[in-house]
Amino acid sequence: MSVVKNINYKVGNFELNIPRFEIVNKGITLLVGESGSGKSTLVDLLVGFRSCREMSWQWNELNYSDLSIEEKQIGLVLQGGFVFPHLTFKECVSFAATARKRKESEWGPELNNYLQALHLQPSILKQKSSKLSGGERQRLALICAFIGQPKFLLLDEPFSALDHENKERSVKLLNNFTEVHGVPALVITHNQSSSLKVSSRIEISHGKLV
Amino acid sequence: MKINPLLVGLFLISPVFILLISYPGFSVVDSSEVFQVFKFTFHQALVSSLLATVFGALAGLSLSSIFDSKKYSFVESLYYAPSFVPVLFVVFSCLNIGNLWQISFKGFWGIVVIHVLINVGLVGALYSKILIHRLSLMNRLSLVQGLGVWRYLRKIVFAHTKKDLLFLFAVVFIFCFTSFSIPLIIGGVNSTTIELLIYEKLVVLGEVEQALSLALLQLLFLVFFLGLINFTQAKEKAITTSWNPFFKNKIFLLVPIFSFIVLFVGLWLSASFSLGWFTELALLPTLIKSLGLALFCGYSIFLFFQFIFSILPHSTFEFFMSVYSSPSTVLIGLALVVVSSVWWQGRWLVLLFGYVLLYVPVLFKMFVQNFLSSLKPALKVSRAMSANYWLRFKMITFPLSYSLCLFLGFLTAIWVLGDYALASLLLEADSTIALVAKNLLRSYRLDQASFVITIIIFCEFIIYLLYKGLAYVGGQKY
Repeated sequence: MSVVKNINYKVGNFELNIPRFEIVNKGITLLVGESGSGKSTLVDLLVGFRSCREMSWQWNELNYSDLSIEEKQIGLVLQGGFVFPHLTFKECVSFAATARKRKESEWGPELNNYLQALHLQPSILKQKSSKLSGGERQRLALICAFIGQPKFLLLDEPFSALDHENKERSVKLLNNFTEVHGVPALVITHNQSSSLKVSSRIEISHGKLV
Repeated sequence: MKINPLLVGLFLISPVFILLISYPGFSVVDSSEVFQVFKFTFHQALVSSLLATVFGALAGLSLSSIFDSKKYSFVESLYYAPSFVPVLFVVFSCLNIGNLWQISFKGFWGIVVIHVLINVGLVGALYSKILIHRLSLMNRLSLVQGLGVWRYLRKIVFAHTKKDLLFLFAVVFIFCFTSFSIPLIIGGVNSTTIELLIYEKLVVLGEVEQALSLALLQLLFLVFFLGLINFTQAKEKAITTSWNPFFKNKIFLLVPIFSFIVLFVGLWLSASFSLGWFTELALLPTLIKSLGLALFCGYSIFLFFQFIFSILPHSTFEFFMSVYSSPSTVLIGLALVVVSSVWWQGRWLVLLFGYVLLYVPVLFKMFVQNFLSSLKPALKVSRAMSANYWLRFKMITFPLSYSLCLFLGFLTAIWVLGDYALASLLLEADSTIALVAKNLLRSYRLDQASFVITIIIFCEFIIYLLYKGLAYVGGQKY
């Protein structure tokens, strides 16, 4: 179990105030809440895009919040599935893998497996990511998160642009990834799929835990 | 590799430190004199920027309605042209037209008209981008819902872009407030601006401490002014890029196109061409040195901004750049004189630093602040992927910022080619092509001046072709 404590962050009129919450070490922790409740702000704080001095994130005897963004080795999917618009599909994946010092001989076969699992054609590899549809971008963002062999997954609305079938495929892939690699995941979603294997659930409302 | 971006900030304000160390004393200037000069400077800057913003906004509306991207690019170039050509050229053209039609471009209104001619197209082009990028969906919705033009302008355009208009107004205001060349040539006796007063105190009267006091006062005012504006600037991100189908009226295209025509007709009116002047004025070595300096400055700006992007995001530095305006041209020139007095052989290199110090703040405000909103998400995600500095720079920062940095380098090169203000403080007369033109104008050798200015425009066109070539190559690769 990783424990996050003392989140006290103010931006404008909004205040995120969470004394403590836990993320399961294995499996998926679901984070739910209405729009504007502070979920994405919480993700930013955990990654390190925003800073909160009092916050501590204890995991495996490490104070994870002391690590730099790069050192945390997080697999991140931002809301909307942000990918690099000037790179092709394959270049985005290659970038994510190279950043974690993986060789193509290692991640190449993995990529093919992910493409198959997510029902993507190999021809998509040459497409510029700016030309992809919203659903394709989101699946690309998911693959980039997995390919880097992260220690932790942070997924902000990873299925919002997907139709029902692609969503089920992505959920199945996520379930499989967390089980096989033993990587904990914090997933934010409005619309929980019944097939998502949730180990724990957290609800936020108006910047506070419910 | 961690470099604190605030070191860049320290570099940009280094002229102030150099002068405070070299001239530790402050000298109080006659307050009534300062008040009169400040009042005139503020008044002409306010009127110029108001007119440029209003007409520029209308011109921007018309530009944003052009559907064909090639036509759009062509018209956009006409919009930008008056602000990109040397100020010397603008003044010269206006004086020629004035002579032809008995219009006096002197004093307050002369300064205002020329400021508006230079800036109206720039405001229009930048505003058009805002309308297209941010209001794209709202424009379409307004059209579908059958909104009337006035309601569209009030409820959609003005309501959502008033902060942007304020920002554009501020950019033009700073340009007009710190304008040196235009008041110098056409100002007249009762039209002294703060920049001219600083120049007079420093170069003519040798009262360095008074000049320094005035320059710091000017800098403080601009920082305060920009600080106020910055807190009102819109922070919304660009949604999409698409033409504006709502505003179909193209009549306001005429506003900046008119200023483009005025400038080039003005030059053509007195255009004289004699190849013999080329050798008579010994222009070839001067031209080569000027082109070399311009291209090297352009390249330096290209590298400098790449460096800045590679060490961002940094909220304190971005705030600093949004409120900081480069010090007076004369103050920078004086600081360069101090440095080059220690290293005379390197004065061309010192001049290069001077241009970087002068142009980086204004280029950042005009073009970089908006760009950062699209660069930052890419940098954030790449850091979360654990990409190190070099991988981020090679794969993300450089490709995404290449075309913008190239454009900024191109702008700098053409500005440097036409600058005589900073060059005259550091170099001997006739060291650069712009100094030659200026000295010819001052000695009323107008035919030869027009010939040299035509050469400058031709060289700027060559630089433009070089820029287009590099942009094409970069576009293919990135």
